[in-house]
This record gives sequence, structure tokens and C-alpha cells, in this order.
Amino acid sequence: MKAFVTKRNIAILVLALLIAAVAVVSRSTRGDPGFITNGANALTNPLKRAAASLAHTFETIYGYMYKYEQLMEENEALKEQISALRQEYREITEVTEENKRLHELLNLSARHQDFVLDAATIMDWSASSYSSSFVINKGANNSAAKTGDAVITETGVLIGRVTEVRAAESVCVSIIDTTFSAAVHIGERGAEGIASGDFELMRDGALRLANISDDTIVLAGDAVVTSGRGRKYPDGLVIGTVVSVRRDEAGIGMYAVIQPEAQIRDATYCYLVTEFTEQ
Amino acid sequence: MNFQKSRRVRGGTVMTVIFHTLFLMIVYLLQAHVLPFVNALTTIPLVLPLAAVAVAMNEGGARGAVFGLVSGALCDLSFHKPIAGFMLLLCAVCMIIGVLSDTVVARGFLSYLFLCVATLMLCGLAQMFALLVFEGAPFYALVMAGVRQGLVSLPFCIILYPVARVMDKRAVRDYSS
Repeated sequence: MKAFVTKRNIAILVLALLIAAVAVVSRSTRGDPGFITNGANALTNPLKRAAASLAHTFETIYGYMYKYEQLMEENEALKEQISALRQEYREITEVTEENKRLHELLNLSARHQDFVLDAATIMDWSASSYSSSFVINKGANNSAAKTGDAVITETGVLIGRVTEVRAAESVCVSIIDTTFSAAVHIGERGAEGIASGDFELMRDGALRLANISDDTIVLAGDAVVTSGRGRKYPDGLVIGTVVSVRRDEAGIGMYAVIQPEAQIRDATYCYLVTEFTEQ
Repeated sequence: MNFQKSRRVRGGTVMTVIFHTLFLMIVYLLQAHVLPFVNALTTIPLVLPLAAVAVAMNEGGARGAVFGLVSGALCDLSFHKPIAGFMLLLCAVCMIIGVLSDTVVARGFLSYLFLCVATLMLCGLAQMFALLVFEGAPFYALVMAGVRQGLVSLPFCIILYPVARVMDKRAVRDYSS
């Protein structure tokens, strides 16, 4: 007992009582915890703020590490979804294009019910600057293709002619090739002529309507369609439009420049007219 | 000049032949499936003969002729023509180039460039012959087409020659008789 009741212990107890009394009295009379409590708070505030800041930092790091993995997983899942959606979009686009082509083909078949058509794909183009030819994926073994068959688009535009039939593919010359020629009707007046490839015009992707007689009226804008004469091509296949009429090199006659209706080099799908009824 | 003494002999390794064949195949794929869609000066570059010339300079007369034959056949295929004209042309041209490079012509880039120009001129003449004779195409237009083809094709020499030389390095031996 004597060990507890010492002068020092009593002094400390008295001090504590005094501090408490000051706080109580100050709270009762002025409403604040007193100058001693305020002073202690002022001393400890910086420490409190530092501790709070540190706790916040640790919380952020933990949250970052924990949420980072969540975000990565979510990111991967979203990427897979995007990839699947892109694939679906591509398929839908292809189906839509095919639908459009088949609709056009249906219109063509309605207009030319005598045509026997064989769908083909253009596989590659000639690497020569002196000719314009392409290879399609139909040959003797997988179609009724034969030399001389017209190659058209789904809208009935003539783009070439089969020149060589191989086992599984065929070589076709395009309408701008120098070896191409076809009997045509020009414009609404029905004037006749021969549309043929021309080496100089081939560079510009055009062909020539040669030997226009003096009594033939050909105007820019006239449509050029096959006439069926000579039984090489069915009649009514669109070739292109007259863009200009020029005097020939000899200065005697006139010829017209025909711009093809189809974007020949951009064509991917085409149709062989393997049979047709001559008009 | 004593040609006997300084005659170069090709190492004749199988790997060199394989490399050169692969090289020609890659150039063929470029020629047939990529360059038709390149329309510089409204002309398609002609690079397969340039590759054949590079190989012939490295391989000599006999092998050069074989590679020229293969390149020519590939050229005919890429032009959608029967395998005849270019096959014969490049076979002969590469044989001559191979013999020349074995004897009098230095195997440098300038020689290669000169030989490529000559080869492209011959290829142009071969292509324009039928159009000129049978279809009456204007001579001037045909010549200008050949010139444009040469202009757009020659820049490929910068790539083809070093590649062919690298493939040949391990097989060339010099010896004196």
C-alpha cells in the first residue's frame, strides 16, 4: 500500500484531476473541451493527418492491385466479344452482298430467260501491260464453259469472253483487250457498229467503236449494247457508254470512245452465258 | 585476258539451287498476284525477268539457262499465255548472260542494271510483236508502253540484286587452273 501512496503518485493523480476539471468546467461554461484538450489536439493533428494519408495510400494500392486483375479479365472478355461481333458483321456483310447479287441476277434472268448462266469467280488478272485478261474458276471439269462464252456481271453487263478452257479454270479476255470485238447497237437510234479493244485506249480502261459511217449519228452518252449479230454474243448485253467521238489517225473516218459500264478490274464475281437463244 | 585462268566455278550446292528456286517462286507470286494491282504509270512492272537475270549472273551459262527457262515459263503463266514465248526467250537470254558473266562481264550492280535494261527491251519487243504484226497497234504507243514498263520495273533491281548475291555467296569459289 505504501508503494502506491507516494508523493509522486499523488501529484500525478492531482494533475489528472485538475486537467479533467478544467475540461469539464470549460465544457459546461463555454462549450469547448478546454485549452488543454485543444492544445493536445493541435499537437496530434499532423500525426493524425499523416496516418490517414498513409492509410488512404495503402487502400488505393490494394484497390488498384485487386481491381487491376478484374479490369484485365473484363478487358479480355470485351475483346472476345468485339472479335465475335466483327466476325458476325463480316458474315452479315457478305450475305447482304450475295443477296444483292442474287437479286440482280434474278432480274437478269427475268429479262433474259433464255440464258443459261454459270456463276464464277475471277481468280487473277494478267501481269502483262500489253493485254487485259483474267482467269475464272470454271473449267471443263466443273462447268459447261466453252471458248467464246460471254462473261457478264449480275446486272447483264458484258465484261469479257472466254478464250481458253482448262481443266479447272478458264482464261478470259476483257472487253478492253485488243483481241475483243463485238457487234453492237448504239443509242436509241439503233445504229450499228463494231466495238473493239484498242491498245492506246486500254490504258485508260476504254474501248473503241470503230469505222463510224458518215450517216451514223453517234453522240456522247449513247449506250452501247450487243446486237447479237454474228451469233458471238447474246443481244442486249450492255457494254458501256460513248464518252467522246474522235477523228481517226488517218483523218478520214471517225471513231467513238466507249467507257465500260462495269468496273472491270474491281469485279470479283461474274457469270458465264453458256447457252442462249439467238434472236 | 586469260579466260581459262580466271574462270569462276559455281559451288553447285543443293542449297543454292533451292534458295534460287525459292527466290524465283517468291518473285513469281509477286509478279502474278500483287503487281497486276499496282498501276504505276498505267503499267504493270515486270520483275520476273530481272530476277532471272540476277540468278543467271550468279549461276553461269547452263544453270542460268535452266533458271531462265523456269522464269520464262512462270512469266507465260502470269500472262495467261501458253508456255512458249517467254520460256524460250528467257532461256536464251539467261544462258547468254550466264556465259557473259563467267567470262567478260563483271558481276557488279552496274553490269546487272545494264543487262536488266537489255532484257526488258527484249521482253518488251516480244510482247509487242504480236500486237504490232497481227493487230496493227501503233508502233509509237507500243514503244512508249515498253519504255514505261522499263521505268517502273528497273527500281526493283535495287532489291533483287542484293538478295540474289547473298544467296550466292556461299557457293562461289575462285580458282586458278
